[in-house]
Amino acid sequence: MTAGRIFTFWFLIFTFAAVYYFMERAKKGNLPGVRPIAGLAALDEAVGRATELGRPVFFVPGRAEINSADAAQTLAALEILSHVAEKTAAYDTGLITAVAAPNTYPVAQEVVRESYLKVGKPDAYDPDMVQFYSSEQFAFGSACLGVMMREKVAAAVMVGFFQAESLLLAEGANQAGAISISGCTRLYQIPFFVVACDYTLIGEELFAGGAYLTKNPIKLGSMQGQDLAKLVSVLFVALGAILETFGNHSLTQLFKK
Amino acid sequence: MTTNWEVWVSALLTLGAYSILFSENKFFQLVEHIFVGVGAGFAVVVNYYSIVNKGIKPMTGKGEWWLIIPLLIGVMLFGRFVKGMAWITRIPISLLVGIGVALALRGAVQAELVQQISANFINVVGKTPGATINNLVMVVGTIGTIMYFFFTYKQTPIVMAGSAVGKWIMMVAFGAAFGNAVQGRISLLISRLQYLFGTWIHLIPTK
Amino acid sequence: MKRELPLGITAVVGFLFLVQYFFKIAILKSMTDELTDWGTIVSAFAALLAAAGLYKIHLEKIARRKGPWEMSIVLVLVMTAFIIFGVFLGQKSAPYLFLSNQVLVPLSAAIFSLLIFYIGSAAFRAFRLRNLEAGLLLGSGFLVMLGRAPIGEVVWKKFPVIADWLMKWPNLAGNRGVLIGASIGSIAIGLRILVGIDRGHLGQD
Repeated sequence: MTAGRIFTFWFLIFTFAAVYYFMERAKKGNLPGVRPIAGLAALDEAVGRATELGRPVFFVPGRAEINSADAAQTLAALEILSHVAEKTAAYDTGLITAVAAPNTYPVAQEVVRESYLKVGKPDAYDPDMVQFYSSEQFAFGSACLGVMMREKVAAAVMVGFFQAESLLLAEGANQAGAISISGCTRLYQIPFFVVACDYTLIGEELFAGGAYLTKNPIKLGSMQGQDLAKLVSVLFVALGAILETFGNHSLTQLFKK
Repeated sequence: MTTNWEVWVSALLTLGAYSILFSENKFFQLVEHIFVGVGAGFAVVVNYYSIVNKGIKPMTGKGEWWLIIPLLIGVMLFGRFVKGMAWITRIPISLLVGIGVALALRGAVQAELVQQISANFINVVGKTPGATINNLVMVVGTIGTIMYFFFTYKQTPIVMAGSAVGKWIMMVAFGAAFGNAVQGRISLLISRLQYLFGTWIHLIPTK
Repeated sequence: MKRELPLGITAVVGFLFLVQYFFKIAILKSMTDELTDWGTIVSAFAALLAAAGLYKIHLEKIARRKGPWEMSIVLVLVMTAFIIFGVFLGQKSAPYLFLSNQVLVPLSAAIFSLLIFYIGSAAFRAFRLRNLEAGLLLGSGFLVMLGRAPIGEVVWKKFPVIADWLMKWPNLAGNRGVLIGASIGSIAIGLRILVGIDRGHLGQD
């Protein structure tokens, strides 16, 4: 095994096992309660507002390619897109999904199409609900600004991987008078979203979307497994600091293996 | 004022981009559509050369015949336009998602999980009371922030206290990062203004 | 077949990359390098597909005189010209370089520099919030901004020290916690996709 990755390997196996165990448990009906997550709870309110106003919902699933190291954020964003598209389909509300990563484009189309099928409105689905603008960061940003304002979007959901264009999108939503919901795990961008948006999914809250919105038992179980991994992380941080304070480096060395 | 028409083009486009600050207008629309056109064209050109240089040329020139496989998988993305063949699009998507998920997992578990945990393995008692406080802020702040992301645990007083500390630390952290970015963004604006007032209309000296 | 094959491909490719990361096996390294190149090639086709979608939307707008359709004409012309220059004249041709250097680059810089105005408007709105969290956010933001600006040091020489402290300790602690949480979220969604539980991205049969 590659030196320096042995402990990492076992930690990954542990996290896999924790998630898997709780998913199996959830299948048998042992479902956890989940604390409210304001940004996710606000999604339905946002679609409702757009419906009342007769204006579209604008959705951006981030800019990361699905074969990149940031793919997990895009895939989490697509889970949220699936929920939003179900709602827009159910209420006959307009939906504009803006895509920057070319290989996310066919996937996003598939996700939206499936949502419209799921609520029994296949005829209401239009492939142009998903639009590719540009993979160039600021060309994409300027297109989003223009579209949000021209179409007078009532809600803007911007979740996934973002870079400096985050503030451009958030302020564009504000200029358009839209309710804004953002979400990102990238540390440089969360502050801009937090300051500029009505609601922000911070870090792991983005990944909670699938479970929280669908109430899918398996995904809820997964959430419980994730919590166990976090609890273990907390215990490691505390134990490691205590041991180091007393001059014991055993845990530090174990983590380096 | 410069007579270089290329500089005029750049300067006018820059002004058009700035016009969005007032309202959505025709000038911005023009700039936006030019920008998207060039941006999308750029993507097509770059990816066209990826197909040629990474796929077709090595396959035909160097005998790397197996590159026919990714080329065919790529073509499958267009399967949606052939009746009854839409499902075939899933093959390229599944390949890309497989790569992406694995890369994400590798990055997450090593750099974002294990290394971030072990970065807190520090001697909390510093050489001065101030150093001890700093170390405590680090360890307690990290623990509190992780506890903020406990979604399924009962909100007991301990969880609630940890979560509250985490929220406060995150707000201070985000505020600090926001303030830290201001200076850099001002520099960007200054650089553009130098271009407009210097390179374009020669109102200020250029370097 | 229509569902199992894609799920199988994701699982095999994903686990191959994971095993290669943890175990030193030469053949796996060359396999994953090859697959990475395959990913680039396949993604390149996705870019062509996405660009075709963009053409379709704007050509329809032009045909139906919908929205700012005159602008769609500009977009289609510029995009087509850029593609022709890049593919037929080459990436070092003068017209291609003009569109790159005098349009793409300055426009990127212009839009990027807009952000300072948006930082101002976003901070102004946030100022109106009156709760502890907003106070902490704005307070630390204001202190770091002063500490980083030349004027801050003139007003009080401790501002840069405070800014450094905020960045080095609370900022780092908060960021570490967020990263640890997010990484566990990534691992969970990754596992669910690899074992075929999350399959929304593949669509229905």
